[in-house]
Amino acid sequence: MMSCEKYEQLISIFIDGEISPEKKSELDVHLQNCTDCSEKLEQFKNIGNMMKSANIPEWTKKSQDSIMRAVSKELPKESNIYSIEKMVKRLVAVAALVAVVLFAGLVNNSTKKDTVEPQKRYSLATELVASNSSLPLSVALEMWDLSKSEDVDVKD
Amino acid sequence: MKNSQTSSDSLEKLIRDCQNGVESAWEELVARFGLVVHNFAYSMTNNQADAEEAAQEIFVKLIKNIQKFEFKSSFKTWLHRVVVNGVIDFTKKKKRHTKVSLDEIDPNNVASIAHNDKPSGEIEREEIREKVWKILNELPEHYRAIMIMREMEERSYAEIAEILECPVGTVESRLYRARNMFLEKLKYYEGK
Repeated sequence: MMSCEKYEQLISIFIDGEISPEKKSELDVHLQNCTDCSEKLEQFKNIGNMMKSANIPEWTKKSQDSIMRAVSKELPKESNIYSIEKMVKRLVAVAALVAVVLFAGLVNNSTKKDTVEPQKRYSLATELVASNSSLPLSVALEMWDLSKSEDVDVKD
Repeated sequence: MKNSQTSSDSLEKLIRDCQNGVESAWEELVARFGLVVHNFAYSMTNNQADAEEAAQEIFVKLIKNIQKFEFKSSFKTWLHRVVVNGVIDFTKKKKRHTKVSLDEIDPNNVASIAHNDKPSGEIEREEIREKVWKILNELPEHYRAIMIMREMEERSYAEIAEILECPVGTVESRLYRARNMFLEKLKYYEGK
């Protein structure tokens, strides 16, 4: 035979609709013979009714906005994966642009070396030879090369 | 079936976007779950300003913890766990600043707001509501939380056990003790 305290716990489970059929039958029998537990059943039910009558103020757009303001402040914007993706895309674009510029520069430079520079080198060397007939062409060409490496204008 | 699958897919996408810090996803999360957070916070604090402050704290906590959600369990249960624990911490923190003892309260003064222009039925209902909030506020936080989850949110024992991460037997005994505490306080205020 269980004590009233154990039955009271069953009453609590019963009003929540969570009691097993066996325990419910056991409780039924006890309630028919125990006025204290029958009273407890009514009291526990009454708590539920009272609590359901307690009203909660409406959830407003203002409350929602105040939460969102707090959320926005805390969002880790810089570590945001989308920001990282955007940053990587930007870096790739800049790198591609730099590569194009460098490549164009190289092409331009090599074209000058192959076509313009040897011609210029030769014409300047022949000018030097013309102004100084004792100067061999090979030396004049070397002087041109030297002036290029020292960034000195041969004409001066 | 198809609809629930779609809705769980969209919830999963929403959570993943929140994990990636997408602000619009957080806006949607607040719109979808703000009410639940607010109502639980209000029930625990019985104060609108506190409820709003608690709800803000919970969402800030969610930002810091959402990465820990690994889609192995129900998001709603996980969220309610964060909410319940967060609001309990909030009310404990608040209580340290405004501690009221039962001995300091005169039972005759409970529900003493002037009801001059209201019909008697409405006055009675208001008095009951005031008693409910007063008594709930005096219950220890864990008992208050379990009473709210059961009596107001009408959650099953299994759900409550999952949220509180405890056995169903613990839910049963805690609810029984909470109801008895409530009754004791009710008798006190009714002068019985």
